[in-house]
Amino acid sequence: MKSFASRRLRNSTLTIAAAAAVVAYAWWANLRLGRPDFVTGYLLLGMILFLALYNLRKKLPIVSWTTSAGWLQAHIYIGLATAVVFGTHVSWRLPDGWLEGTLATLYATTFVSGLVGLYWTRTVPMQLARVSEEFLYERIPALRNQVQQLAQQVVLETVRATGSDTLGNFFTTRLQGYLEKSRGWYYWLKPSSKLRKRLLAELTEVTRYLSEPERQASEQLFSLIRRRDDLDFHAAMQWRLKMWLFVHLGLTYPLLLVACMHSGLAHLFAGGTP
Amino acid sequence: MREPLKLDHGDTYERPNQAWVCGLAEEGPTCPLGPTARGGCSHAVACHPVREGDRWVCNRSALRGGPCETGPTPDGECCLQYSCSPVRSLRSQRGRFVWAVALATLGGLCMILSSNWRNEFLAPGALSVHHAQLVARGDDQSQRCASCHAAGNQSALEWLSHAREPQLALPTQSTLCLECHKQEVPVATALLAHGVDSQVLLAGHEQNLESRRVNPMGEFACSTCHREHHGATHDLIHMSDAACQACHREQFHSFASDHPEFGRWPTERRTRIAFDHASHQTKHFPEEKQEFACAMCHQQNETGFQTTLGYEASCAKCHDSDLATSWKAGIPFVSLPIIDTETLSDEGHDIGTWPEQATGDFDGALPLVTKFLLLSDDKAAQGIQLLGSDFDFYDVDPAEQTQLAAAADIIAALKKFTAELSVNGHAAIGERLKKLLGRKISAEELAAVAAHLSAENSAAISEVWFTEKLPESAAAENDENTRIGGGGWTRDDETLVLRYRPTGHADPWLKTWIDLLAEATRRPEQKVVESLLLDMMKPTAPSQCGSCHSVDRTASGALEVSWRALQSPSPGANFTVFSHSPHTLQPELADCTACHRINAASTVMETYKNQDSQVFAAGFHALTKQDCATCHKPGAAGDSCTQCHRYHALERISEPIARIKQPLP
Repeated sequence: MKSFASRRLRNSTLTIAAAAAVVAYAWWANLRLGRPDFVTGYLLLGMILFLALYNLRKKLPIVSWTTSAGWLQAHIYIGLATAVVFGTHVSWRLPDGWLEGTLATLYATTFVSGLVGLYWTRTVPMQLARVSEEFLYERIPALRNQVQQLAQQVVLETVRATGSDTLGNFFTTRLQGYLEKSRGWYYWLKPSSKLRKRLLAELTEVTRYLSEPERQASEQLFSLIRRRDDLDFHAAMQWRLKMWLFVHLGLTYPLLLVACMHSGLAHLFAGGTP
Repeated sequence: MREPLKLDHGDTYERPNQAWVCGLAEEGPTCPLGPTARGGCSHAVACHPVREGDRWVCNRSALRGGPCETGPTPDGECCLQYSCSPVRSLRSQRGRFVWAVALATLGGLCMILSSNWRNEFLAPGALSVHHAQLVARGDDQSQRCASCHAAGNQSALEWLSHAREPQLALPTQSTLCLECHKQEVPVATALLAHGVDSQVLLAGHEQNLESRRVNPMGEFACSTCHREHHGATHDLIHMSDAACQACHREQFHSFASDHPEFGRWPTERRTRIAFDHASHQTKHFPEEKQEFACAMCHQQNETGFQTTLGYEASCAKCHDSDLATSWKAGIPFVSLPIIDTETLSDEGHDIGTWPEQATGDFDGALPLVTKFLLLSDDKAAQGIQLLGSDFDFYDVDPAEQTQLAAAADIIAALKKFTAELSVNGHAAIGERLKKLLGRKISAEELAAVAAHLSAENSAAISEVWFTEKLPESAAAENDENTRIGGGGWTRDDETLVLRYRPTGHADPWLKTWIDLLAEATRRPEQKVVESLLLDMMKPTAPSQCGSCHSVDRTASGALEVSWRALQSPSPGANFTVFSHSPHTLQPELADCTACHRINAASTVMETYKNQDSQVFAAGFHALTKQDCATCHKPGAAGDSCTQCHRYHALERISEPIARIKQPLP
């Protein structure tokens, strides 16, 4: 089995060589007063079609040419190579027509979303692994509900047992909202542990006013606050991994449609042979 | 140490790949069956109670928590019923979102393609300002694209028909380009390399076309080089050096290192005015105590072309007196030679009446103009051809019958002409020129060649020369010369000569006669005219026209006289363009001799003894590449091909190209 490093070296070398070959071909064709735009354009369209097949392979077993990992590797390296082919196709200029500008914008955003996705799929799992436990994205709502109910149960039992409402007041004023409601949109974009730290600090502050049974209950609340924050962190980061695909895939098909239209128009308006 | 809380994840079977998920997932344990494929709730229960005697007992699996505490309802229903409104899975939402975006895009494109804004949307960028201002005219903006693209005003359905009907793609874009640009480039050869016939273009070149990146024998669309839609300020005519070298086999990495020496360029032919710069610089100007400065004779015009000033500004000061001396006696128009009437009569050639003072041994030459006009008479033309265009009656051998017959024919024609001149005046000249040139002579030309010849003078040729004796009181020749100014006629009834006195340099009478003689050399049957013209253009001829004005043979074989120095670039286009303007601004180049160095050893004037303008010795040393390479290098004045060479050359330059390829003399 090839090591990860040698595989990356091989794939990178192949990608750079292929991209260099395309640039060299365009240079060669330009020297001969040729129109490399058509060749590079069709090459780019073919590459994007191939990249789009990565999504279809899950639906069409007939295109399951290799493992998902193999598809992903091909998707990544061919996707990176499209940047060079695209640059060569547009002669490293920014298109300024409406159609071509739209097409270039679609390509650029799709490419950048791919890069962002690549970065997130490489970094987010490591961040999630640093959290105490693994959670399935689909189960997180139920687990959050479970945490909220546990906390409420612990507090109610303590209040009933001790007759003191110190912990109950703290729960209703500071924790109940936190446990019942979802986190704000800013947290989904940029998760942080500020709220968790603040709540834990406040609970620590309250602890000195608590009786022994309440202190034992508060210990459970500490765990539940941490757990809720872990669940929120998981939810936010996994949501991020799922949402970027909305952007990436959402842009892919418009890109293909506009690219096909562009290629047809290129032939229609090419001017014909002398 | 606070122990982390372990949560019960449950054993729910997650189905994220399915389109629907249980609506209870937000709250707790989900339905074990999950929603139906169409998103309906399956209304599952935790167990199916079994009846044991008269009681219903929970039989929930131990894996799902075992029998519940509540137990079945009295009528045997499970107390844990799962009922929800299933929700779409994230994957399904994503799929619908992608489809929605794709359909929206498709719909948007269809709307745009069917809208009035279609062409603006499809345009791949702004046009250059030159084309933009043209297509912006007119009310129908939808036709803008159609100005250059056949598909520009077609419907989307017609676009789809292109594969089936190729004629929909016509006319080609190049054809549409040429509809507007036919004034600039010849349409027939516009798409050929350099706009020149391929065979002519490759004349003198190695024919190994395989070694070139592009076969120059083919046709090239305008858009090969002129790329539009790159913005208003885009330079449409910019051509890279690499584009030039697509056809040009020799690789030029820089002007200084790879460009060949200029050879004869820019002197493709001898100067139209014969002028020896070296002798004027070292001899004539010092003798006249004049400063020899280039600017005295050459000035730059508004296009940057160095022109040569005219005679009055440049030459008259020194040469006017020579010219006046040369035609002081006037230029003979008609004269009667001395004829041996007795011998002619003895040999059976009766010439009729002949003035007594012109009778004797054969002697005297006919004026060149008279000879020219007599060529309109067939017999006289044969006689002149027999005796030679430069014949003198002195050379007629009385013992030679053929020469006597020729002389008699010429005399008869001369008498006929003088009689016609006496009776018809200017019309007699016009009629003969019409026959000689094969066209009608215009009134302006006739006025010029007749030069106000009076009826009295023309009538006197017959009345006085042939029928009456010369009056004793006739004024002396010198008195006549004093009385008759430039542009007038003098008649010498003693020597029987009618003379014209030119007005000075560029006299219209003389110039018109020379031009008509030159024109007559185009007619193949008038070969003798060539000799007459060359006689008239001899440096020793009275007018001295030939001292400075060269006589060149054209491609058709005829002769033409160069009256003026080159005043503008050669007619038509040329491969190489040069403007003095930006160069002479440089202090070190302001003095012309920085580039144009006179070659004192050159035999410039020798080259004007023949009529081939291509065989010549330049009066200047050849320009060297180093003269230009000092400034024309990257980072300085630049050294791209198109700074000096241009791609589009008209068909007319094909001849100069061929000449350039000739070896140096």
